[in-house]
Amino acid sequence: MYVMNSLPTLSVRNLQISLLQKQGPLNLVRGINFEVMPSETLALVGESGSGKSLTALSIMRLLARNAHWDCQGEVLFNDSQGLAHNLLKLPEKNMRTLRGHRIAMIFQEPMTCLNPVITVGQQIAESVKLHFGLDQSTAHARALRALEQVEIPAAHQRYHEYPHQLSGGMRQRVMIAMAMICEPQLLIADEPTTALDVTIQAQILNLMSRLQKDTGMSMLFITHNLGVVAHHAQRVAVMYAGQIVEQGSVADVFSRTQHPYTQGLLACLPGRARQQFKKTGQRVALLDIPGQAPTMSSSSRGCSFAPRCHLCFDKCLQSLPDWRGHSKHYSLCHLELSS
Amino acid sequence: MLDWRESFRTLFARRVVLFAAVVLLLMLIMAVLCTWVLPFEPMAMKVSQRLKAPNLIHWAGTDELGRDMTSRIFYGARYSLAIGAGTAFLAAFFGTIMGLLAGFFKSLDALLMRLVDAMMAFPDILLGIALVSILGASPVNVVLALTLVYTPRVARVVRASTLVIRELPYIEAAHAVGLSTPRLLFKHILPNLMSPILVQLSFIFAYALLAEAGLSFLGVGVGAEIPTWGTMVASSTQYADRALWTLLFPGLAIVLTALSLQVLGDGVRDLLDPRLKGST
Amino acid sequence: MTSTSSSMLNVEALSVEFGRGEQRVRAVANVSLCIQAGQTVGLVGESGSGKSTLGRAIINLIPIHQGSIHFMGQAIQGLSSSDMRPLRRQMQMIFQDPSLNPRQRVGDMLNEVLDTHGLHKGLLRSQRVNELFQLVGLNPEHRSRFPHEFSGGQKQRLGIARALAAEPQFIVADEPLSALDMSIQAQIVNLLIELKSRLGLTILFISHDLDVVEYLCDHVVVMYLGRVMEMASTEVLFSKPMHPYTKALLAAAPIPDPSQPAPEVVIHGEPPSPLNPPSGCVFRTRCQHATNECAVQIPELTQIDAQHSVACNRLSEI
Repeated sequence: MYVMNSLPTLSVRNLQISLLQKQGPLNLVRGINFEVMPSETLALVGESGSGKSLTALSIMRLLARNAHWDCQGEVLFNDSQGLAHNLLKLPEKNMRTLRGHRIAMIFQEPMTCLNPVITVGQQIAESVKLHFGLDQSTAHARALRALEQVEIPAAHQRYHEYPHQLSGGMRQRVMIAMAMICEPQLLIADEPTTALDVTIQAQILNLMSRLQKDTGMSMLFITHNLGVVAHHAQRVAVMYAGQIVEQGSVADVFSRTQHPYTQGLLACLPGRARQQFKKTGQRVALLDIPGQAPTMSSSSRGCSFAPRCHLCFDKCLQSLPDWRGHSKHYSLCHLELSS
Repeated sequence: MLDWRESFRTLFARRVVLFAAVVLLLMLIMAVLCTWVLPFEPMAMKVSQRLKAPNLIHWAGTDELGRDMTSRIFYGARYSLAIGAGTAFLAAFFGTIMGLLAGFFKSLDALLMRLVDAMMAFPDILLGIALVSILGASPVNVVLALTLVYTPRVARVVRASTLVIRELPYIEAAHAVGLSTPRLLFKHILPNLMSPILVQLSFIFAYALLAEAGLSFLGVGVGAEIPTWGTMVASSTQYADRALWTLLFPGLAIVLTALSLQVLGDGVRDLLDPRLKGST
Repeated sequence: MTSTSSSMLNVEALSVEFGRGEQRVRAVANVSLCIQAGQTVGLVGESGSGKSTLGRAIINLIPIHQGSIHFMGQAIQGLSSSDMRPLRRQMQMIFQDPSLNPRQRVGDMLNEVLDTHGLHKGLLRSQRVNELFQLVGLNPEHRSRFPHEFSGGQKQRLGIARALAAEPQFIVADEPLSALDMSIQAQIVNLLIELKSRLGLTILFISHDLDVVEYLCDHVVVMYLGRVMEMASTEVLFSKPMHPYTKALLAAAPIPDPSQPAPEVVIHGEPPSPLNPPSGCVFRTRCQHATNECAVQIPELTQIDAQHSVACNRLSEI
């Protein structure tokens, strides 16, 4: 359990991520700000190319080493002792002690993240041996308990199985067990349920919510599924073309949407159309957002969403938008939208 | 998809590959032009000039019959390169057909692959020796023998690639559209096999070159009268102790050409394989 | 979906199996359904349900082991590929991205389809290809481009254009939206709706996304481990589901509205392995209403209404 303080677990200020190429830098994340408080889940929502996965990887300092990345800005991690670490500036050695211990990450495809030739139990045990310096038998016991915590039936049997012997849902539970065993303060989950069936997804999400409630950890949940966001996050940040275009509580962003992109996203969900139909009895057409997200190499003077925005006017194409709203719910737009 | 200019740029980004390509190109040009450009006839015997060391007149010296080594090397290149290329293309042709059919039609797979296994059970040189002994020594027979040796290698590679491509969504889609099987095979699967086939071609060229040299050296190659690098090496053995150049230059020609082919093959493979990973 | 002679597609007792010996899997077991002309039927299920296999079997892309398929009155099961070819014109498929030959220019690809079926020969050909591009919302000037030059959404449009080139009456769409972003999914859904009404298509829409199915389809078939659990009109299925599995699926799907109830976990555990399906009702291992009878008796698809059939042993009690 962590001391409830008012300091955010993770505080990201003006994070910029660029890919340095021969032709010049490619600005993939262009200055984003967000915070995640203890016991809170912040959902980072966006479509492909929005930069949400890159953000998560840069926080963990896991960006691919075969390319030249340039990360600017501040990523402050406030640990339980009250110490602040600027993750972008930390030496690799210190980062390694934090990674997997205080900050854990789970990914979309567990099969590619699990070593196929080591039993799942042993892989979990490795993590706790590394970070806590425990001996094999203690680590074994802890790993077994971790498997039980993630509701894997017949845990002592599964301990000795290999990843390919488990189903997708089971593997994801193993990943969660590996992430949770060192009692992290921050869990970053990058599309953890996207590859799972809907009934298994419901189980995994419930599990994650329960674990969060039990441990008080913060969660940064990356997804493109707004249905998941609606029920498993307290706050949401919507990303488009490397920027956060709207941020606020889930209730606010869903019902008092400020940004045209968020509005567009909600309007193109058939699930939403179904809800409207139930409420009003009228069939609502699915409003799509024409065109596609800008390619990363194109840069324009104005708002990056302008070409696809149905509310676009001249100013949108000429100058960068400002922040509108208040500190708890704001958006990046020239217009003040009220719904 | 393959922008030729960009492909060449990527291929030759590595200096070694560029060097290899230049060497091969020069060899080819000289092989074609040697009788017009060089001062001496490759077959002209001048016994008074026999076994002369490399000097300003004969840059590579002369052989035991007084023939100019330089001319002979480049003239011999015609035969060696022709045999290598002939083998490579024939092996690629038959190997592709076998591999494509085996990979696509399950019913033919077992039969064809057992045939391939049988062919591969013999080490190349032994099979070559056996066949040339039966058929007789001539360039055509050497090409036939070596084709038989290398076809199964191509067949295996092509079959493996066919098995993979066959399961790809766009093949299934083409089937759903109603395309006939021959069209599917030749217009959709075959073009996507070009990469492994091209790579195999360059390697087999190199192997054939070396194998022909080996066979001729052993006396079961093209026949001593025909000037290939292999026969030159073979006839130089008697004189190598006092006239090293008679062995050195044909040997160098073999090594340089085979090496260049392999480096070029590596370069082509590096160019095509990562692209394949990205495009499928 | 009552079986009448005017139905476009009539499937009876269809079974598809893969593998040999111990590895034998019944991907589709004893499925019967009927699709009328002009309908859009949704086929839903999770992984392992056999929905993709069923979709492919229906248009004879994979061999079947038992049962019959009648397309417009003609039996097509077991037909040779040459006999199937003229029929292929009528029944086309849209795949999950990518399904385009990376080495073929997109214009050539459409040309090839038209060639195969001998349509629009000569001077009309070029015009027809342009038409197809415009039909799916693409610029005909891009006909000499290669697939990798298009975005995901555009590639899917090309896939649809290819399917439409043969002027089919029936289309099987196998998870056409799964690889696309949300905003692009909506574009494709709207395109499909427009094409459906414009060209009078009959569509079998295979998906795991219940929301899209509810929006797009007028009938739904729910599958689990190779068998049909429930079939009904969309309205009935989503408002009055009867089968425990359907209810669980609907409860688990997250509604993108925080004021609505959160998704519920109704069924626990994992689906059983298709190599070793449970005896009797395949859903019984995860069903809260299962009794001993369910282990013995394979439930038949019982019609409880004109538009509603359910396969459950304990129908009367639930």
